Amino acid sequence: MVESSLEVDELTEQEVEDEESNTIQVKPQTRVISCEYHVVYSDSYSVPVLYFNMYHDSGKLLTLDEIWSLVPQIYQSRLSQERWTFLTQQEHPILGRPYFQLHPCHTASLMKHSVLSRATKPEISTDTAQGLAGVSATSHTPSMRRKGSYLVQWLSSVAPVVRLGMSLEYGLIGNN
Amino acid sequence: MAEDREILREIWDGRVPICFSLASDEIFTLEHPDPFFLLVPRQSYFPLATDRVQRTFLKHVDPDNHGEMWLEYESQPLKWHYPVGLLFDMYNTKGPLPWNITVHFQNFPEDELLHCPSRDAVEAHFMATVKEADSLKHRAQVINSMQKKDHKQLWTGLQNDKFDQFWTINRKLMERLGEEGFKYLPFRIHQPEKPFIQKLFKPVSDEGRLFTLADLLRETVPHIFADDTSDVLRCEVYIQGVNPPLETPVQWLSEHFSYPDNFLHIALVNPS
Repeated sequence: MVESSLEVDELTEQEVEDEESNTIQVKPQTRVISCEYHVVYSDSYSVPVLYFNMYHDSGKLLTLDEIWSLVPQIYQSRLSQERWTFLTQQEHPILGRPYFQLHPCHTASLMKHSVLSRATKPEISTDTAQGLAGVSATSHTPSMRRKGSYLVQWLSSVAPVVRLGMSLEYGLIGNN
Repeated sequence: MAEDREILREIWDGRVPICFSLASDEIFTLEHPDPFFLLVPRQSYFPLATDRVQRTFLKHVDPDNHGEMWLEYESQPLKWHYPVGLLFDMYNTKGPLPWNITVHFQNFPEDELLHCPSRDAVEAHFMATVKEADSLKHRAQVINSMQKKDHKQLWTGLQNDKFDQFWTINRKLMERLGEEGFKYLPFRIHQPEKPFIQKLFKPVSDEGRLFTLADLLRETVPHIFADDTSDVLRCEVYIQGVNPPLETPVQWLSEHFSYPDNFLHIALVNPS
């Protein structure tokens, strides 16, 4: 599980009266959004799945429309065609609470163009996938390095869609 | 292949009588609304059945202080993304009829309920569940080989309560593709106050033996058995409103007792 926060610039009308010059300035406001990310292995699809939530600083959950609007511009055209099959609210399979989810059906197409997908996809157990979600840059056994690479490859494909920043150290895994 | 059409039809036609009442602390108008009685299809989802309930009750709430409608039974928010029949099995199988449900428009419990912004959300959820079921049954080969209009027909068949329209397509999802059974069984076990249990489970052994409901339960929820030797249960098992015999093959149950989302939803109920 990863927690982070996201700063989003928003042009809202915060009217600030300047008493001396009788003008009103519109101040850009920065919102801070708290984010929580989980990686859960799906037995049904045999792929890892990303679940996440984003909260306003009031503690209120973002709406689905707000989440969709935060998806980076390069994915927006795809989102507009397939939004209901791409990113929606679901029940977290372990916690049983509402989380937003990137649909696993799209993992295959997101990974299709990656170098690693040409190799055989390694069998990943639930424990390995969940453990590797928080893996550090230190390398392990060769087979773990391969599994680590798949997960890093997957995460680096899906993370930008949901504004999850990834440390460059992840790129060191499996590259010895 | 789901051959017993009579059973499929009985399941499809199942209804539960519900009395919807607006939460008393949300009534804003002088005139109190009458409770709203409906016979709701077991196989449907609440957002598909409650348009008129919503329109009627909205007239009686504070117009400046209301949000998305949500349903509650005895302080338990009801998950709209579960089929109506499953919710009934989970919460009111022992209760009096009609099932008394409270309608709210305030204080939406975001930490418990998914939002339902439109019918598109219900359709998306339904189709995603059907796809997941086929991933388990057929590695998604059947659902992926269908055209978009076939997917749409499943949804409109469900929405409009059209058995033939629905089953023309659904029977393909219930085919065994030359094997003795599905690759894995799409099922979920629902217990009070716990997330549902879903695991990989083959309905047929490598030797061709059909696994039973007892086998499935021993594998996934062994604690409900009183001991290892007998099939005496500590709780009751409901599927589609009935207690199926424990020796029923799960392959047969999957083909006949699944909900339209193609999952076998099993409710474990504490004995009263």
